[in-house]
Amino acid sequence: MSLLLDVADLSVSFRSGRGRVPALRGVSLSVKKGQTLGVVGESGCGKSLTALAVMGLLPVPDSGIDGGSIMLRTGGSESDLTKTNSARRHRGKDMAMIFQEPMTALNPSFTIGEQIGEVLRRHEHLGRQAAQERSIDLLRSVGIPAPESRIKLYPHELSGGMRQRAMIAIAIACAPALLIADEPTTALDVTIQAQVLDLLRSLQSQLGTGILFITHDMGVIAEMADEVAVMYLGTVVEKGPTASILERPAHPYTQGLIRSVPTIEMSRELRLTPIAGSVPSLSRAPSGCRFNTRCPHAFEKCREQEPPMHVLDGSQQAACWLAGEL
Amino acid sequence: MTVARTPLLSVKDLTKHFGGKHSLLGKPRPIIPAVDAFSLDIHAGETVGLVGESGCGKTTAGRTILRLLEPTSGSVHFRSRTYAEARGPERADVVAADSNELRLLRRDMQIIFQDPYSALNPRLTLASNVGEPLRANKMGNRGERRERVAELLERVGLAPEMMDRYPHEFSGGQRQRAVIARALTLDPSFVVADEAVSALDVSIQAQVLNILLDLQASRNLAFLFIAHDLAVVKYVSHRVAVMYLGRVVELSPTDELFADPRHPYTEALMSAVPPPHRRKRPPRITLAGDVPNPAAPPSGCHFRTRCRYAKDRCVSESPALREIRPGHLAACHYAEKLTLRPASVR
Repeated sequence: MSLLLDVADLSVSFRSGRGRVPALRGVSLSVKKGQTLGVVGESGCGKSLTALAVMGLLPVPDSGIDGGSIMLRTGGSESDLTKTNSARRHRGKDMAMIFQEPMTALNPSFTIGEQIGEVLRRHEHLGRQAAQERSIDLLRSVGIPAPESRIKLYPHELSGGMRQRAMIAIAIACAPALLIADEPTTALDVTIQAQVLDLLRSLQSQLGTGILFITHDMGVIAEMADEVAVMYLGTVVEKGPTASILERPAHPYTQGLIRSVPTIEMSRELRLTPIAGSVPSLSRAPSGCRFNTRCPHAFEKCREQEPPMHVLDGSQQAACWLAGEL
Repeated sequence: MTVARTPLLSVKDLTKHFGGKHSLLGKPRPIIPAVDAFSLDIHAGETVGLVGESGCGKTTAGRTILRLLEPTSGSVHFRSRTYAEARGPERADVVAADSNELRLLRRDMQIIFQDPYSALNPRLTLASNVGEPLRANKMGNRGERRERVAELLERVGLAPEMMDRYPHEFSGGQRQRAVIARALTLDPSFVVADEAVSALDVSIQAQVLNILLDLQASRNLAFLFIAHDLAVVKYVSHRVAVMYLGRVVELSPTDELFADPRHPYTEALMSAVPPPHRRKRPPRITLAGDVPNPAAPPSGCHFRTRCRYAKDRCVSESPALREIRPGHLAACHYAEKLTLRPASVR
C-alpha cells in the first residue's frame, strides 16, 4: 500500500523564557492511502502538535520545525510540507483537519452554509449559487437532516453532534486525500460518538481518504485504526498494526496505558494498575529513555542512553531496551 | 451491604425545574424539567453510579440533593452524625433545613467538582484551599488545621511539603487530588463525585479511582458517582442509575445492569462504548438523532423518539419506574418482554 503521508524524524521546539524547549523529538510515522493511523498518548505527548506541524499550523513565531521532513504524496506528485508555504497550498484541498471542540473551531459569526461555501469557493472556484448547492449535498452526506434550512443556521444553533458533523462537512468539502482528526469525538456523548465514528468510516470507504486519528481512548483506537503510534513526551515509543499493539504491547508505557483503563468486561474486584507518577514537563524531560522515571522496568542503561526503535516480529516497533523481553 | 438498614440518604420524588416566569423583556421563558421525580436511597459505604448523556440532569440531580440548587419539590432525608450531635434527631430533612442546619449537614455531605482548574481558588495556597472547610466551620487553630491538611494530602497521595504552593504549580491530576482532599476535610459520610475523574489522563485517572476506592473501604464513605464513562462507573459502583431527559429510566445492581439491561436506552448506551480490544462483537446499536429538547420532551415515554422498540402505547402513556426483579427497576412498558443485549459478551 502506498504511503500518503510520511513524517520522518520530525523535530519541533518552542521558544520559552529559558531558551528553546524541544516538544517533538525525531517523530516518524506514516499514513497509508485509504487507511487510518491512530495516534495515542496523554496530554502533552505531542500528538496534537504533530498534527499542527503537518497542517502547517504551528503557532508562529513561538515554535518552529528544527529538522525532519513531512512528505505528502497526492496526485502523482510529492511535496515536503516543512517548506515555507507548502502546507498552505494543500490545506483545505488535499488535506483537512477536524478539531476536538467544534464550538471554538467554527466561526460563530458566519452561518454553517457560508463556512462550507468558503472552502468550495476558494479551492474549487465555485460561484455562490453552486457553492450553496454543494454545501447542502455535503450536509446531507454527513447525516444532517433538512440541510436546506440548516445551512442558514449559526454554530450556536446546532447541537454538539450536529456541529461536529458540520465541521466534518467542511473538512471533506474538497474530498481531501488526508484527513486529520484531532480527538473528534472527545467532547461528544458516547451515543453521538458512535454516530460520528460510523460516519467517518463510511466517508473513508467512499472517498478513499487516509486518516490520521488522534485520540486518548483505546476503545476508539481499537475500532478505527489500522495502525497505531503511541507517543510519550514528544517521541513515538511504539508503533505497528492495531491488533498486535493492543494484544501484545511491547513498550512498558503502552502496557501501562492499556492496564490503566477500566473496561466494561472487567470485574470490580480487579484493581487497576496505574502508571506511577505523572508526566514530567517538557523542559524537565529526563535523559536517556524519556519514560524511565515512571517505568517499572527501568535500569541503568535506560537513564543514560535513549533507546532506538527496535523492530519486533511483523511490523511492530518499540523504542525500549527491553523490547520483546517484557 | 445489607438492604434492611435505614439508608444513609433517602431521596424521594426530587424535582428541579429551571426557567419559567418571564425574561427581562417580558417574554415567557419555557419551564425546563431538568430533574423529574428522582428517587434514590443510598446506604453507608455504598457507591451508586449515575450515568446518562449530557443534559440528562445528572449534575443537577447531584447538586439538588446537596441543596446547592433549591429543589422545586420532593424530599431529601439524610442521616447525619454532626446534625444529630447538635440537634438531637439523626435523620435530617435537607430540603427543610435552615441555613444553620445546612451548615451542619454540609460537614457530612460534600461534593467533588469536575474541573480541577476552576474548583480551587488560584489565590490561596493548597493548605488554605484544602483547610478552608475547617476555617469556615471555625474548627481548630492554624497549627491544627495545617496538621489536618498534611494528613489529608498524604491520604490522596500528595506530599505534605507541597501545601504552601499555589494551584497553578500543580498538574491537573494533582489538583484533582487536592479537590478530593478538600471534600474529605470534614470527614463526610456522603460525597457527590461529579465527573471526578473525567478531566484526567488515563494513567492519572486510574490512580485517583484507586484512591477513591481505598477511602471508601477505610472510611465507609458513600458516593453518588456521576460520570458519562460507563466503564469507569461499572468499575466503582455497587448500583447504577441511568438517566434520560431528567428521569431515571433504570436502576439496578451494577453487574445485573450490564449483564441484563431492562431498558432499551441502557442497551443502546452500553452498545455505543467501543471496547479497547479487537475481539468480535455484535454490530452496534446506533441511536438516531439527538436528545430531544428538554423544554418540550416527547409525550409518553421520553425515549420513544429514539427507541427501536417503540409502540403506540409509548406515545400515549408514560411508563412508571417499577421493580422488575428485586432491586432492579426499569421505566419501560415492555421491560419484561424485550430481549435486550448485555454489555459484556462473555
